[in-house]
Amino acid sequence: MDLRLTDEQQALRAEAAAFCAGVRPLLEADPEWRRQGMLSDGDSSAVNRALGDAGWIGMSWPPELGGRGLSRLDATLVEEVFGYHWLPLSSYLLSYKTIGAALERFAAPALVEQLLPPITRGELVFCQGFSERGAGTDLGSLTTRAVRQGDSFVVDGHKIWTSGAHLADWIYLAVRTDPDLPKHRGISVLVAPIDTPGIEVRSFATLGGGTLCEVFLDAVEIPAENLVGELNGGWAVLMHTLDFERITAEKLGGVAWLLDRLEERVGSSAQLARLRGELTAARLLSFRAADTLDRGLPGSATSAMAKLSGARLMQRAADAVVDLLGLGGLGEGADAALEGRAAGLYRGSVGSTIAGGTTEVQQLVIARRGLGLR
Amino acid sequence: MRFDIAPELELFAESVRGVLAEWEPLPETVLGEWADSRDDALAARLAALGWAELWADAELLGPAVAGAVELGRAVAPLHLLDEATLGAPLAIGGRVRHGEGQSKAAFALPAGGLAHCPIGEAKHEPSLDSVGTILVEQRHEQRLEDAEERWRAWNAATVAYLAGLADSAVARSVEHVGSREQFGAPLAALPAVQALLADAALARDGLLLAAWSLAAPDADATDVLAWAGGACREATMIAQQAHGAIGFAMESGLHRAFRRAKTVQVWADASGPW
Repeated sequence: MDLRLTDEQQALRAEAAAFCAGVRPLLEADPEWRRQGMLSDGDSSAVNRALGDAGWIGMSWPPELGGRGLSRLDATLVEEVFGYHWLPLSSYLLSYKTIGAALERFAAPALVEQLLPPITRGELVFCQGFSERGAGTDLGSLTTRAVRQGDSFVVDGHKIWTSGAHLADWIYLAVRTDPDLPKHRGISVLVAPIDTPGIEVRSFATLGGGTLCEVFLDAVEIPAENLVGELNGGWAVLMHTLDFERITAEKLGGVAWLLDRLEERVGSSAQLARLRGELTAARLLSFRAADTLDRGLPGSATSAMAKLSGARLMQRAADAVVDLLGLGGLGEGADAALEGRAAGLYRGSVGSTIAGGTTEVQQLVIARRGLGLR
Repeated sequence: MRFDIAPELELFAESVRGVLAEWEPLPETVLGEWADSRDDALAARLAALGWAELWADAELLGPAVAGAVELGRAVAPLHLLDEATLGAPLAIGGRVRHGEGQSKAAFALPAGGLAHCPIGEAKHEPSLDSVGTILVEQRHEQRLEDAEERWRAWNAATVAYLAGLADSAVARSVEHVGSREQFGAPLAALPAVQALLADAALARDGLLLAAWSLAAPDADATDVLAWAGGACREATMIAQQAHGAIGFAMESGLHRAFRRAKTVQVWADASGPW
C-alpha cells in the first residue's frame, strides 16, 4: 500500500487549484455562492461552462468522448481541490460523476455519443429524478409509471428533492415499468430533455442556502431508445449511480479549507488536531472508494463508508468551528469570520447525512455488503 | 496511490503473527491491582526480525506499520512500541509504563523534546490496564537530538497499533453476532446490531488506512494520532456492546482490547503538543 500522491497527481491538483483561482470573479459575482453551505448543492451555469471549457468535466472518460482518460481516483483528487475552493458543483457532480457514470456504463452507444461530449463541454446538464413523496430512503417503492406505447414510453408521476432541475437540460428518471414484478425488479431508467412536453419544474429554498426542485410528469412521451440499461433492470443502474454519488471528496475539501482558515485565526489545539485526523481518514476512505470503482470491484460498502465518514465529519467540523469562533462563528457573508462559511456549513451540513442515502442506509450497506451480516 | 497490500508487507506481517502465536499473554490479573504485561522474551523474538531497525529506516516504514498492526491485533505489550521507537519505556510527567526493572526511560519534554533518564526509586500505580505504571522522579536529562524523528515513529506505531486493536475487536464482534442467536435468529440479522457494527467497521477501516498513510516518511502523524485513540476506543466500546454480558465477563478476554484502547488514547493525548 502506498498512499502518497504521484507527481502526476500532484501536478493535476495544482492545475485544478490554478483553475479555481481563475474563476474566483465568477464566484464573487454570484450571491448564492456566499450563502450556499452545502458544497454539492451549489448551482452555477457559468462555473459549469468554465469547468467544461477547461476540460475538467468527464476527466475519466476517453478523449474521443471529450474526457482526459484519467482514473476515477484522479478525478476524485481534483474534486477535493474544487471543494477546497468552494466551487458550486451541483451540475458537475450530477452530470459527470453520478449520472454520467451510469450513462457510460449502461446507456446504448448512440446515447453515449449523443450525451457525453456535450456534458464534458459544460453544455448539457442533468438532474436526477429519483425520490418521490412515498419513496425516499425506500427508493424501491417508487410509483412514477412508464407505459410502453409504440416506440415510446409515456411517463406519469411526481419527483421530489431533485437538485438543479431548474438549471438542467435533461432529466435522468427512475420509473416503474412493470408494477406486477417484485418492487426492485420492475424499475427502469429513462433520460429525456427537461423541456419535453408534460414536464413541469418547481423549486423551493433549502436550509443549505440554495434550492431543490420537484418535477411533475404528466403524460411525458420519451422515446424507447432513451432507456438506460435493461428494461426492468433499472435497480442495478440506480445502485451503480449511488456508488459514485457517495464519494464526496469535494465536501472534504471544503472542510479542509475551513480547518486551515480556523487554525490561522485561533492557532492549533487538540480539538482541531482531532478533526484534522478524522479528515485524513475520511479522505483516504474516499480515495479508496474511487480506486475500488476504478478496479471494477464491488463498491457499495466502500462508497458507503466514504459517504458516512464525510457526512459525519462535516457536521462535527461545522459544530466545532462555530464553537471555537464563538459569536463570530455565527456571522454570515463575506465580512464575517471565515467568510461566513462556518455558519453556512453548520446549516448546510444537516443535509449531508440525508442526501444521497441517509446515515441509517449507509450503515446497513456497510454491515450487509461489507461485513456480510444477515 | 496504491491500495493493495504488497506481498512483502504481508510476508513480514506473517512473520510477526508467527512470533505472536508463540506468545502467552499475561494470565488474568486482579482488577485494581498493579500489573505489568511486559514480556522481554517476546521483545527478543521481535528483535530477531529486525523490529527496532525498521522504525529507524525511512525505506522500511511499510513493514514497520504492518508489524505494529499485528501487535495491536494481539493486544501485545506497549513497551514493544516504545522501545523500538523511543529507545526506552515511555515516561510522561512522573509516570513510566513498563519501566519496572529498566535502567532508563524516555521522558517526554515540552515542545516535542525527548530525554533518556535513569529510573530511580519507583512506586507502583495500579492502572486500568496492565501497563506496569510506576511513579518516578525525573533525575537529569540526556536530551535526544533526534527527538522529532523518534516521536514521529512512535506516533505512527501507535496509530498502527490502534488500527490492529480495532480490527481485532470488529472481527471478534462479527463472529459473535453471526453465531449468537436471539429472537430465533442471529444477532447479525437485527438492524440495530448491523448499525453498531457498521460504525465500528468504519472506525476500523479509517484507522487502517490512516496507519498505512504513515508508512510515508514525510506524513505527519500528530493529527492522525489525536483522532485515532478516540476512534479505536469507539470500536472497542461497540465490541463490548455487541457481545453483551459475555463480553463483560473477564473470561471472555474481550476487555483486553477495550482497556488497552482507552489506555493508549490517554497516553497518546498526554504526549501531544497541546
